[in-house]
Amino acid sequence: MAHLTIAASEKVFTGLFEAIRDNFQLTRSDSRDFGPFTASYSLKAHLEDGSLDLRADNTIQIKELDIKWDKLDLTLGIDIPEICVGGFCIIPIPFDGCLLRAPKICVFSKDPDISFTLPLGGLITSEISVTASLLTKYAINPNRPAGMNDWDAQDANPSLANHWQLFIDPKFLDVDLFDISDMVGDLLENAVDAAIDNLLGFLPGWARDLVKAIIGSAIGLIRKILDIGDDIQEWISDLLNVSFGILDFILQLIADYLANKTPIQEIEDPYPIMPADDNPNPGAPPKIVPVKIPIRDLKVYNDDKEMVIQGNVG
Amino acid sequence: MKARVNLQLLKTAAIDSGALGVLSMVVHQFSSPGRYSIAISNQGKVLKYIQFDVDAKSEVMQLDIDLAQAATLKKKAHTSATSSSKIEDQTEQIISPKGYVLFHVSSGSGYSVMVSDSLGRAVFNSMKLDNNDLFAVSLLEPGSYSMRNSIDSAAGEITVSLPPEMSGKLKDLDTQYVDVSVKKLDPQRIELISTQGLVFRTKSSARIVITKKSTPQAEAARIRQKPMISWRKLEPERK
Repeated sequence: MAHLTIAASEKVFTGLFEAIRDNFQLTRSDSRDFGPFTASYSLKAHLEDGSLDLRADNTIQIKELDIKWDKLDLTLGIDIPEICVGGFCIIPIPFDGCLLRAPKICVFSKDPDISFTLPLGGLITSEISVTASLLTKYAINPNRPAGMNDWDAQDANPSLANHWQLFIDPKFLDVDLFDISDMVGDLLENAVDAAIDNLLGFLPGWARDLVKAIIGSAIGLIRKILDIGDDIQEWISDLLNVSFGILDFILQLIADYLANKTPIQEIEDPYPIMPADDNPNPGAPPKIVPVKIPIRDLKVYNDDKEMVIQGNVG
Repeated sequence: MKARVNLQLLKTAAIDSGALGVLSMVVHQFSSPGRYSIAISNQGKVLKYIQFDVDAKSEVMQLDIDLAQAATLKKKAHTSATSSSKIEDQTEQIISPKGYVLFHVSSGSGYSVMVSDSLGRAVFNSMKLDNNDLFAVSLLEPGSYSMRNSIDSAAGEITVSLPPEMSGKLKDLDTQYVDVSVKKLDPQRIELISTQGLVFRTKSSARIVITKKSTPQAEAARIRQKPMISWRKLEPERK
């Protein structure tokens, strides 16, 4: 029979989880060259909501944990293809093409590139569900000098005590792929128009209109270059998920955060059960040291009602 | 990268078959085999002589000669011993007698050519086109233009507009033609979409000059302009 048993209700456990959930923050950026275009992203995200359920099979389940994108800026860069005039037929051959054709002259000396940024932060929602078990680990304070006793470690500021740590150890993480608002289509079109207007801003209005007429609708051009097809939401989702692997990265990060980086609870070892106090015995040292008991074999499990921590003293 | 635009394309106000610029070109057929010499001039000053051959064995039907580029070509290290002392650059440009030589300009303006045969006889002068020559242009800026044969004063009008929708199909526009005969341009009015090809087919001596008259914006502003003085009827004051 265990020397120590501590139980926490589901409500208490939920409070512990919410504390570490609210401390989770993610920032990341990356860029890639995909040949016809370049893409880069910059993101900042945190976690919100999520319902926690203790289950009878010694697992816990976290459902509908939202990834909130404080920022998810996707920047796309493309080369505008050669825009040339001329090339018309001077002497046609009836029903058989053209005998003499005018040479082409290109509007741009080089293919100009444009880039535009889609601020997707408010337009994307993502949800995670986690099935996990609870896990204890013993953490030796890496800053503690060799030979320092437990009392000096406790008195150090900051404390250099060792700890038992309690983690949520994810076994399965499921994620809903990016759900992207259909507003992103308008966002893309507006961004491209603005980028091209900016690129050609020094030209007279008719020349801008002419360049646009030659290249066709700007959004049509971009869709063609980016090979977007009919479904821009799916294209962006694939770009972020598959090409950049953002969700894989986030899942790994969350799993590592829960299982290794951020314990939901820490128990100092040896555990102080009585604090330091004045020594009432005359002639003895003025202070009596804290009373601490070493904890070993700490284990954790749960049923559908509570989390239970058990350990031995010694 | 900032776009570097060929501004000459966009700022061409006047187009002249006798002073070629960007997007204007003349076409001539040299039907007699032999070696021809081209004197390339700019603003009336000869810049360069180049040669081409018309060879019955050739199957080349189109020979494009960029006058601006040819005029700036560096002198070759060695020239043919048999060539005229005038000839600075010996080129190997050959065309069939059934083909056409197209003189155009990739940059700059004011270019003309005088072509002579191997006997030194002038056979083509771009400043005075003749029967079966072609003058081709592409107008970009929307607006009204006048077209005029400066040799006999035949005149007409051209209207250029942007496509009503951004169709991206400008390359599919059919070329328009104007037949140039003595004191006549047919048709006298031409409506073009910006970039659409326009070809003058000369049946008589011609030097075609196209001049921009107004832009659509200027035309609209002129129509909207209020008179400086206007009258209105005063109503009698009621007591």
